[in-house]
Amino acid sequence: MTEMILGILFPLLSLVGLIVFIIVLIKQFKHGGALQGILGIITCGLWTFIWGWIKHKSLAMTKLMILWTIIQVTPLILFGVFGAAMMGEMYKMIGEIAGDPKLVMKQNQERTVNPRLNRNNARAKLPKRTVNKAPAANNTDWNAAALALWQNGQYNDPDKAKKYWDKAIAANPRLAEAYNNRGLAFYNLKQHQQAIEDFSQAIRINPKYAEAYNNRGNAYYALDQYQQAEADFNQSLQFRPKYARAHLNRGLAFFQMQKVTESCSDFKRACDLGDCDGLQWAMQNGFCK
Amino acid sequence: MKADRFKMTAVSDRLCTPVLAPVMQSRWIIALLGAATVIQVAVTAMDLTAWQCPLKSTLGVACPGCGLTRAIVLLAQGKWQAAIHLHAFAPVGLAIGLLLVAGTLLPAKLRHRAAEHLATFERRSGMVAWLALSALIYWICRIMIYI
Repeated sequence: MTEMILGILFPLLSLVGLIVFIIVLIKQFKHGGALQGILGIITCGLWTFIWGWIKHKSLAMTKLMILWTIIQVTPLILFGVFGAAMMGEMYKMIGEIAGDPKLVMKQNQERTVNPRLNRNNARAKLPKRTVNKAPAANNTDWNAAALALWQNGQYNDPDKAKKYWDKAIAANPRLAEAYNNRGLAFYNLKQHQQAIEDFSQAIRINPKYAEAYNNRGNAYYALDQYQQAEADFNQSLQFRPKYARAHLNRGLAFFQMQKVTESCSDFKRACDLGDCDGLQWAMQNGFCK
Repeated sequence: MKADRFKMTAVSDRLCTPVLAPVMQSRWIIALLGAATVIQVAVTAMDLTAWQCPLKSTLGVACPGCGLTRAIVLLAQGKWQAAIHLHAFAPVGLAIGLLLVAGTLLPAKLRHRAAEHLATFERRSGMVAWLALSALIYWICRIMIYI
């Protein structure tokens, strides 16, 4: 209920804020000159806001400025009331409604990622050891053989693992876990497109397969397709809300999309759920406090 | 002909109108700006959004100043490379902030003299207009390259 109210309130406040900003900006251009107006635009409206308060009496816009102040202060008050996580969600929602453009900065492209949080460590997913709940006698060995190759979050011989999973899939083509795990082998081989196809097949077989969504998100991430990655992590978390890895991975995707607030919020959530790698890295790099 | 010439002079005069100097003249405007800056920087350092950019929050379009506070925070933390990558105008923003703060700390007489010098410099160089123009160009480039 609260989320719904905030979901309506926030975009409404933003819209009214924009209208008020435009009105004051027009006055700024008219009375302060072009330079003042341009300064108002290039300071995210902050200079316009201050100028508006300086001139509010002479230009009879006290009420307008009070309204603008209320609009600016409300999110901070709501933050105090509802906390960071909820506000992070709200900002995300507004971004989605507004169709937030992908303004990826150079800083993000270069990624000053802590070696301890390298891509494989951060996004590798431990496969389910009980991949086949009722294994057929003729493919149990292939599952076991492939799983035996899984060490430290990745296959030590992904080529061989892929072959084993090929055989396991040939024996039982309806085994979602086998597709998921062959996808991981493809992922380790850096054949991300094939990995996506396998994860997608696993999802087709089991549409609520949270781990497969998470893994497909990682593959999209590896291809720098952050929006698709985010969508997959969202799906993963929908089916498994306390999935620390998916929170951490979504945090990374947010970071790449320059959504630092949401990124921190996810790193913190992942840490609450037991995986603090992301938060530690973000704090070391000065992005989260 | 005369009218045209007069018009041109008027436009150039308006673009070279001092902006920083009048701010430096008034202590309470600097106090207001300083308070706004401190709140903005402190809240940004906490990974929150203090000042909602009306363009970004409503239309999802980053304005030329979006990212500047975060870049200044990074710069203040000594991470100059990350700061420049995030927003190339971070050093300019920080320098202007420091200039204004330094101005306020001066005694009234000295502050007025400094403001006068600054006004003359702004009028002659059109510094703020150039900075504003380059910020707009930088913004367009940023949008064209990174979207």
